[in-house]
Amino acid sequence: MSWMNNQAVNLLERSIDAAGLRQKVLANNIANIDTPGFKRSDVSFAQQLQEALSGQSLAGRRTLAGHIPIGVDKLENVKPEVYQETSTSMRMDGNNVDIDSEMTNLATNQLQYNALIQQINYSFGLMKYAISEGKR
Amino acid sequence: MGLFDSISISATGLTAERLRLDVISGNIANANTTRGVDGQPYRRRQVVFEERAGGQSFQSVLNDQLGITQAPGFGVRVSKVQQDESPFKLVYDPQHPDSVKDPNDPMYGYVRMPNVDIAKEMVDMISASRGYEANVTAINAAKAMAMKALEIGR
Amino acid sequence: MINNVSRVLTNQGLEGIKQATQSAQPTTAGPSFTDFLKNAIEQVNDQQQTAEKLTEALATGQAPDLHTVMIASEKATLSFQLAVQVRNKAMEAYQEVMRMQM
Repeated sequence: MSWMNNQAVNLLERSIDAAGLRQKVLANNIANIDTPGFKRSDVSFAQQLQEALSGQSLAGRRTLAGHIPIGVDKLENVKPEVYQETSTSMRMDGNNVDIDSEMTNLATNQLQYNALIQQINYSFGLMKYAISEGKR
Repeated sequence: MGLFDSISISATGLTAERLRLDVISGNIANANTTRGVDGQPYRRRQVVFEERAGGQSFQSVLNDQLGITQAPGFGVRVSKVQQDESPFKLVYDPQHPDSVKDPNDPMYGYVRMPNVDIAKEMVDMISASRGYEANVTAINAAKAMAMKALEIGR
Repeated sequence: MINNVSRVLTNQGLEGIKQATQSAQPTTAGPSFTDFLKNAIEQVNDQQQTAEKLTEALATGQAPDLHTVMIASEKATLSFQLAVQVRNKAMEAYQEVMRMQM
């Protein structure tokens, strides 16, 4: 149903995907903590998402399949991107992974993932409530 | 991208750090071995880490060509265990059974000891165990996230 | 009074109604109810198929991410439940209308 793919759920889905990707990237950074010449990577998604969201002034809500989407197109083009940080200071062997910041990022990312999962659960819960007319 | 890629990546880190720790233990155990396997004193060994490249799957080659870096990487591997070519330490000890016995030799009475510096080995050991713990934390984080994802819709 | 009504209905009335229905076509923004239902059922089917494909991938270890599979199956369940509820309501409404006859 088109009501199920509304902007909020779509947004949450993509954010969850980005957080999952970031977990993998951070795990790779941590695994390569002693590899000479390795440059850390990270995922940028929140930035582009914010730009896409602030760029549209009005998001049209589609109640029928025939409605023309307003401002949804740009949001759908926002994808999480993996970028490499080559400009930070290096150790003697060329590795720029900082274990403390990686661990912090790991914890932050985990919390964000959990929070997003809870939010999407909440959205699904609302739909379930509407479907069952609040009987359960 | 597989389902538990993150855990596989951290697992490669665990393996690599474990191997490094084994090599360090070998160095420490043989710090005073003047008669190695080949008759020479024990030479210090060290591991060389390198980033592990994914298989030559079509997707990865395509991504490389297009310049898309969507794949987060594949972890680390030990490319080789090499011997440290720095010179042996010389200790003056004429009583030692392996000391130079020839009086005309300028190294008379000297024993060639392995080029293992215990202090450096200890520091490396701490670094390896710290790396190991970091990878364990990453695995725990990935597992907790997956468990949370299983609760969707419950 | 009835004569007046019948006169209105004959010439101008019928023409007017025909024109009204024809000119109303472009102004009604959405599809008819049948199209809506058809669309909805197709989407339910699509959701179910996606969820099935992802579950298969999960079993063979090829799934992209765990949360993708979970979200897809949840969406499939919800849309299916909604379809069933809509059907129930439609049946109730039909039965109520049938009761009205006598």
